Amino acid sequence: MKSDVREYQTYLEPEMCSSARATAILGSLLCIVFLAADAYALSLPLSEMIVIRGVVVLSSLSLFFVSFAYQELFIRFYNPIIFSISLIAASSIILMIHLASPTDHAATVYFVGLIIVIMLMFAWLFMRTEVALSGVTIIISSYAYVAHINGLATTDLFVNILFLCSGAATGIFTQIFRNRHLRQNFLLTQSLKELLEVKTEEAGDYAHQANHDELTALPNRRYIIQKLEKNLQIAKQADKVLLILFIDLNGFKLINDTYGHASGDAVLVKIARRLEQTIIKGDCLSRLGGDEYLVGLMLDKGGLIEAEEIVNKFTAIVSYPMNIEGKKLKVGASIGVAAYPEHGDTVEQLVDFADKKMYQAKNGETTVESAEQLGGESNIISFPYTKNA
Amino acid sequence: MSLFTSNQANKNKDTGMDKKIASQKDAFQAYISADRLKNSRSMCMLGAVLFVLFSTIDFFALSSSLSDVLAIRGIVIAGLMLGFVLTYQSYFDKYYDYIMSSIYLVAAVGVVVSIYLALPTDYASNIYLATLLIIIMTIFAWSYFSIRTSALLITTIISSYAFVAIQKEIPVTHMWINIAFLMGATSIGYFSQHIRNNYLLQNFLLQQSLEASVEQKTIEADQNAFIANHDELTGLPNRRHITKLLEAMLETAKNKNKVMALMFLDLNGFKQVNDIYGHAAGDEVLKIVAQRLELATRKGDQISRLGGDEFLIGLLMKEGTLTNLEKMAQKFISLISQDINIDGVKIKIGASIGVSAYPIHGNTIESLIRVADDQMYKAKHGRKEPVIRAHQPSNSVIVFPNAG
Repeated sequence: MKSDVREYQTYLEPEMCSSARATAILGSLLCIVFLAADAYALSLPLSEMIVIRGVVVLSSLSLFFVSFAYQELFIRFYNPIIFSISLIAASSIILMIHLASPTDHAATVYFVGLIIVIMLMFAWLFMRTEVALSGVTIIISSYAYVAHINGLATTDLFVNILFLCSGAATGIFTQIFRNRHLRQNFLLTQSLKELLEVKTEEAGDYAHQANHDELTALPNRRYIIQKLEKNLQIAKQADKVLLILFIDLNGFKLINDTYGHASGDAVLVKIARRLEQTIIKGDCLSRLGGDEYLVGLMLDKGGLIEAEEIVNKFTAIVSYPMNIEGKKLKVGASIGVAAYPEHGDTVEQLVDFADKKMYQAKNGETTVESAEQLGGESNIISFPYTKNA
Repeated sequence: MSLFTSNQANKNKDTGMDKKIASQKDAFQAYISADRLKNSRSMCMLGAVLFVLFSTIDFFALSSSLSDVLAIRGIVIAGLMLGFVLTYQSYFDKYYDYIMSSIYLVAAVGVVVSIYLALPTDYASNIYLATLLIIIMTIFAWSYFSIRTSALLITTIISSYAFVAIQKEIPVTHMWINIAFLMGATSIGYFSQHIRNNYLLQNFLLQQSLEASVEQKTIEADQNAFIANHDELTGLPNRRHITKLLEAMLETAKNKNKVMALMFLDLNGFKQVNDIYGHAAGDEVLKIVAQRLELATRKGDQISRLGGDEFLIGLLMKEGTLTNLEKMAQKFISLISQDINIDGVKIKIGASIGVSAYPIHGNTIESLIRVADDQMYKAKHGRKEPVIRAHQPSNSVIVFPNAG
């Protein structure tokens, strides 16, 4: 709640500054214009009039200066600053009324200047209502005092005060409506901002869900295809080799059937974590669904020589026994390999090729290594890479 | 020629921009219209109250033609009340400028006429200027007139005051000083209105852009949610999503005393299709199976693809209709077993279906799926004949063997 108030304050600051600046400039200009009126309406020496108007102009201009140079300070002491400037402007008018001789036009008419000041205090500036109200009370009562000691008839005084109060009432209502409007605006903006945040988060969450396998949190098929497209672009530009491993677990169905789905899921997660630790940054990994994983590795040109070694490494990683709920389980892997540029230059071709090779490996067409193990055996295809690449 | 066309293109672009700005202006007008309405209402009420107060002043300040002045006050107050009533009319928004400016004009002219009626000895003759000042500042601070309307209004007020002042032979310097006050109020009012409108416009634009972003993100979230919840190939709900849908169905079944059945469907011979005709053909088969299942189920039933060649179907049924399940499962199997034509090749596949039902086999989705899965597994590997195990005469559970 407190931070909400502070945010609202921040929200108002630009408006507080710009309205205060405009008041200062406009007020100074009007003072200068009214100096011409003073010459006809007041029977005072010109120098006195210049001094009185000058004080108002100078304080307005200093307000203008402070609002730019010390904005933070200005905002912090907004109420006292604006309060004093308003009082200075009002007392200059009251002083002129006091100094005017009863026959001067100013003696009767200048009090309307006070109406302008009063309405400004409410309708334009952003003083707190109680501060503005106490300022206006001071102005009206000091005017009443001055008018009284200058011998203004009681009924006339009453009329003038009623006008001043009307100005104040109109001003207060203007302020109330304006503030309510601003507040609503602020709240609307806030709620829109919050909604945007929520929706952005939602979009992000769903994007993550859409792109990742729920069980292992690895990227899913649709996401790794996108990643592989990018990596293929990089491989093409940087003249590198993109190696794709299509991994299918052996014996996974047996574990599922023997120990139940929960154990099977645990195996899938464990394999996912192991594979994650094996790849390095820039490589990509995905669970395609079921017990199939896809790995994309970036190798330097000529890195194809290492392919067999890599495949062996991945087989060993998958085949390493694991402890699931106190049971020692072991699965094997059939791995099919494809490489850009040897086996195709689109992701689709490469994945298809690796898939076929995996299938061959699984059915024992090109078995290199086979080990009877609990849960399964590992078959690796002999890698048919071409040396002329 | 090319110059001409490019000009034309520019022109089109400009009118497009104009249209956009114009529509934005309309939207902004709509945005402030609620505020405008409220302000007008309050202004009319406050104005009426103040004019009643002012008429008490008339007894001191304008005693020379009191009855006339009171009549004028009455007209102004009636005008304000009429304005208040008009704010409730549907056309108020459309004719805002005309209605409200007429009301201000009536009030101001009322004051000017009062000044005209005042004898030079009446206090009103000098002082009623203050009312004009308040009216001018209110015009700017409380209203949303176009600049043209405000300018016309203020010019009329000030010049009619000047006319009266000349008629009454007020000293020219005094008249000018009074006009200076009115102009001072005008300039302050004008700038405050300008700043306020600017501020409102900025707010409005910020909110517009926020709304647009929210809309865009909502669409994005919906799209992502759809992708996250559906199988890319068949467009059916996926495992993640079906669980939620089935939970809701189970709730309905529990609340409405209905029966809910789950069918766990696994294709037979799908692996061979994949191996012989390739993945593309396999995908096509899955799509066609999904379409056939969708056609065979009723609205409100839920079908999903769990992955691979497994489908899960949720059915909400009336109590005592469980015996229909066998017929339904057979219907699904016979539909799936019909020839599938892919690139001129006729492919035939079968399906094994395992069935479970709430409340017989459990009261959680998890347990129901497990039972259906087991039944499917038995159907696939075990018995070749349909087995009907009767727990109760009306509640039979069925396991179907493959049809392929």
